[in-house]
Amino acid sequence: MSTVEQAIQAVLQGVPVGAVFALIAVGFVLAYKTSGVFNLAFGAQAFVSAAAYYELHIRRELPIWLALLLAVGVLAPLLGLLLELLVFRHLRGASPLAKLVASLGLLIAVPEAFDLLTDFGRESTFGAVGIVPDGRTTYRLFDRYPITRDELVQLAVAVGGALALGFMLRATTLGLRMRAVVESPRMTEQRGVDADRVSAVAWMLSSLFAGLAGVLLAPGFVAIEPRSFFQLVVVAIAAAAIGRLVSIPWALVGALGLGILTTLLATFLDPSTLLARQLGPSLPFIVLFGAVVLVPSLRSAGEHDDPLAGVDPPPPTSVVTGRDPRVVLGFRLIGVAVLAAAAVWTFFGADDLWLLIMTEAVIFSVILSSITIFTGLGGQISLAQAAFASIGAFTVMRLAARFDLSVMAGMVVGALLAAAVGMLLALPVLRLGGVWLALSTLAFALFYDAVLAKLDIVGGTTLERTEVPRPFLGPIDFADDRAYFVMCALILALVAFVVTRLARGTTGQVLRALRSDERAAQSVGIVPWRARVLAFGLSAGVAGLGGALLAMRQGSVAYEVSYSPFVGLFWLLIVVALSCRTMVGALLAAAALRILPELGSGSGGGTSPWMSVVFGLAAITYARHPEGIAAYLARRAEQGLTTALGRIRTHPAPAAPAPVGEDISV
Amino acid sequence: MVRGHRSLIATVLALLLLASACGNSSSDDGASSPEPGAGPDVEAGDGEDARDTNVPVDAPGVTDDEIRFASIATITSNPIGTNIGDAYNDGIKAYFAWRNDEGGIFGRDLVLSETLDDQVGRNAEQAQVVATGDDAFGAFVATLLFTGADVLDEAQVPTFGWGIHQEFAEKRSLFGHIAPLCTGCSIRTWPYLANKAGGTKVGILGYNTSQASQLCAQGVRDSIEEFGADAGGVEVGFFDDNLSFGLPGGLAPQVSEMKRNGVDYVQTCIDLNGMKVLGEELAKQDMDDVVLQHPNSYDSGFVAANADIFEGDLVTTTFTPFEVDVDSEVQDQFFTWTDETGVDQLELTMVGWLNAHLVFTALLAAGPEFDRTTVIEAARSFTNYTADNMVVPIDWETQLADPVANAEARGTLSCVAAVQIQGGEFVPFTGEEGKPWACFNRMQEGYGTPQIVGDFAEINFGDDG
Repeated sequence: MSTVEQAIQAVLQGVPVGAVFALIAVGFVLAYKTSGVFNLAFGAQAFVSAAAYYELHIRRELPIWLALLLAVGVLAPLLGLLLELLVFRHLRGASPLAKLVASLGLLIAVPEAFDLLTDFGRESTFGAVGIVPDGRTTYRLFDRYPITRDELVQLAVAVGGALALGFMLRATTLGLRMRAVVESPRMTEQRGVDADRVSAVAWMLSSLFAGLAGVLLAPGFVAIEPRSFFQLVVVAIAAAAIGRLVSIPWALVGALGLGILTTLLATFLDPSTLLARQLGPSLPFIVLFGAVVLVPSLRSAGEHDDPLAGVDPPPPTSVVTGRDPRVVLGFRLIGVAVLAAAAVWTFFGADDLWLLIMTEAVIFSVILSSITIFTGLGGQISLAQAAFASIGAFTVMRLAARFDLSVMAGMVVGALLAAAVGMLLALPVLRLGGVWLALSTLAFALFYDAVLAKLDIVGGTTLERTEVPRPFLGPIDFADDRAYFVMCALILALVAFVVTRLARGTTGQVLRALRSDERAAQSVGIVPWRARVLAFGLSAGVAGLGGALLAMRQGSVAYEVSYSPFVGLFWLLIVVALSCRTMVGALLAAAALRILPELGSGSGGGTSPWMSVVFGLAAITYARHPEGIAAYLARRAEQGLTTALGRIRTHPAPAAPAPVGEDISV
Repeated sequence: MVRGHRSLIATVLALLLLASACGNSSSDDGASSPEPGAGPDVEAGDGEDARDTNVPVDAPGVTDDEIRFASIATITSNPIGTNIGDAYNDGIKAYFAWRNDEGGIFGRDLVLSETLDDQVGRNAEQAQVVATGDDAFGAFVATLLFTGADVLDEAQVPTFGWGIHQEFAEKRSLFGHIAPLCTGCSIRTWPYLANKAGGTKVGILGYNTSQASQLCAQGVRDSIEEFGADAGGVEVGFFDDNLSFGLPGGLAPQVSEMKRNGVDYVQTCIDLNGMKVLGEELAKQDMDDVVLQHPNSYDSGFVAANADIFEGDLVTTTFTPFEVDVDSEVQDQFFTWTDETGVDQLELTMVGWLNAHLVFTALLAAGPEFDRTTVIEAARSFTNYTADNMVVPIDWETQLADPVANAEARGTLSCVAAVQIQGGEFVPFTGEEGKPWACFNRMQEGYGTPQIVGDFAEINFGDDG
């Protein structure tokens, strides 16, 4: 076969691959265009319909048309409606970042909630089929190139859907209204359009497309698992980015192009070459990262300032903002006493199991405080914290194994290296801000996961576990678990001191100013990037420090279990849900992460799905309470006590109140 | 909780299972290690006569009436969508039901008193629960990752598990259902199977996300290159160990290249999802006749759901396949007691059953005044352990070492058992009734001649070996 023939073959083989990406990309852009939400939960919505279709058609043996009608025609729009009514309607005026966090929460919560509610049971969900009988039947393009019936349907739905949706958005009244609602719901309502209804229809439509995509894609997976859909979403976002997230036809072109490029590379690159080994797995993430960082127009696409946003009344503040210093002090003393009691009990009274759990809770407090720095103080989202943590862990491992370096020194080097990588990454991405910054860090995290972590000088993929020893310090051998607990606790205290100093210092003031209103801050001469680069670097360094501590505790680097990008997503959600602006929040989140499962597990384990649902849904409140639920409740309690003590009289809100949920006391 | 990106776990499992046929044989050195097939199964020890003797025992998890065990298994949060733990625990319980029906051991019932779900990420923690508690004499482990291995070994908890993990090597108190694996070793059984299935040009696939997968693929390639010429002229027709996990780009270009190269047999080091994608792509490109060798598809549900694309393929197993009736009470009782207890006969059910059998056998050998140490040492003393013809002979002392680094720990036998997929069901493959295993003498120069057996005691390489 000649090179030209091989190229033609590769292009045609890439089309079905691209069609798979396109199904998600088109739906993703539809959701973004009609709701303004960067909907990472799209994969979760696809999973729900795919699971329902499997249950109805395979397990309950309903005919295809009926199962399709119920799973896609009824359930998917219903889910979209519920999401709009219960979540996103209330976030319409929220920042894109807040909506992104909400969708992240739903990504985690929706599949688990579906499982819990329906007792679906994902295990052994083999043999999913598409919406046409005998989907594996093969046809020949030009009498030569094979394509299956399922693939034809996927391609037809992707192309037909893109054209129909594109037409609908451009040429129909409904499409116009959908776009108008995203741009300015208030102005749309002034024109007599029911913005709520239009928004609900938009969500139902995008959810229907997600459901259809889920059902069509399911036969390609070995089992009905939400992870499979999410992995496709990540790839599809790269394709959608080519369409600047707002152009459905270009998203289709991007998806098909990505599919074709993938097969061209597989056809013409020798798999043994370094280029093939690195480029193949990282292609979508490189495209995504490149698009976000290098295409400025992408960042302005879909972002709208509602010209009538200013007519909204200020949000009500129903509580006083003053707190009796004695009450605040009392709360702090109680907190210190609880921490001290926990530390003493752990050191003197805990058995080996609880010593392990409490030590890891302390270590996770360190790791999660990195989120306190960047998200809490800086108001930005990084989805690469797990990658930074693993840099610290791998550095300790490599330096100890290859150079026999003290792990204590290795830990410091690891933290510095993570900080350096963080600052290096910050240079191109921090100017993006908001959702684009989050997206670029996600691209970096996935690139790190797919390529960098596998390099021999980083994590490698050796079968032999490389042990990470514990340090000595003079006569103290930290191989003793209790001694190691003390060491971790001291490091946590040091990190807490640094974070607190940072928050109270100039950098913290600058970050808070930027978080509150970047334009206003810049107008008074604040240069955003310096403080943010410093915060991002420090945040990455602290994550690296925690990662190194965790590796020493576990005796090795269990990358898949402890440092993968998906683990990092959950870290973010749990901190954001509880409290992201103070060190107390990091401590609470660490306790929830390590202690709560053990308290609730009993002999059978299994709190995990409930935790996913609870913290996933709790993260939705980020828009209303960016300081976190725990911090909000604590503040309310302090204020309630203050009121009860009669020290400060309750009075109406001042003329220019702080936005609801803004923690003005940091 | 997020299950994290443990995606390559599936890969690791796939290739570890694939490699399972390379390390399970007995040693032929020293007086305590009989020649393969030359000695009796040294399993029952001297405790059979004292089986009814009940004397006070001071050991964790042991009461006057019961010997209690805990299992740590992956039940929920498995990213590859399978429930490992329930089937595994069912196997243990069925075995205990059999033995308890016979009167138990040392006047006590065997009880699986605690079943812990490690949710993939909590293995070390659950191991700590077992190691520090007084409720369990020993542990059973069937998990995707085995991060708690050190904890259990340091606490000298007799631990019996799904032997696919490298962690079973070099740890005295840990026993898999097979000997520790030798991933990446060059072995005769791969070209043998290819030749037996009518293959001459072998395609080999592995993931780039895991060196385990790459090592596995390279091991297959080395095996074909070293022994293929003597195994009927089998050669490598395509090699790619650089696939992206999840195969987002499909396998169309790779299959096209295989077609151009005349590949007629494909051996992979990839997971179930990858096998499905591969099977579909081969069918698309009119390569239905190409035989796939599946590393870990011994799942009747999966195979039945994909019967059309897997017709004629081979699936290797780590124990005597269900479909082959061998001379084994352990196998007979498995069918009896899984029926009796109403559980499905799945791969992991058999693994649990085999683990429980080693526990029982070791207890019996340790005698009525047993404790953890004596049970561990009793199991280690078995030099030709086959679980009554269910697994390739194991010398538990010699094969304690890591077979990847230590050639002696690979034993003298290299055996493989496979079944063929026909009409969505598994059928015996060797063509000799009651003889599922093809065994080579690893110590012999060159390829040699396999012996097809169902009873390992029949193996005799004579002057050849």
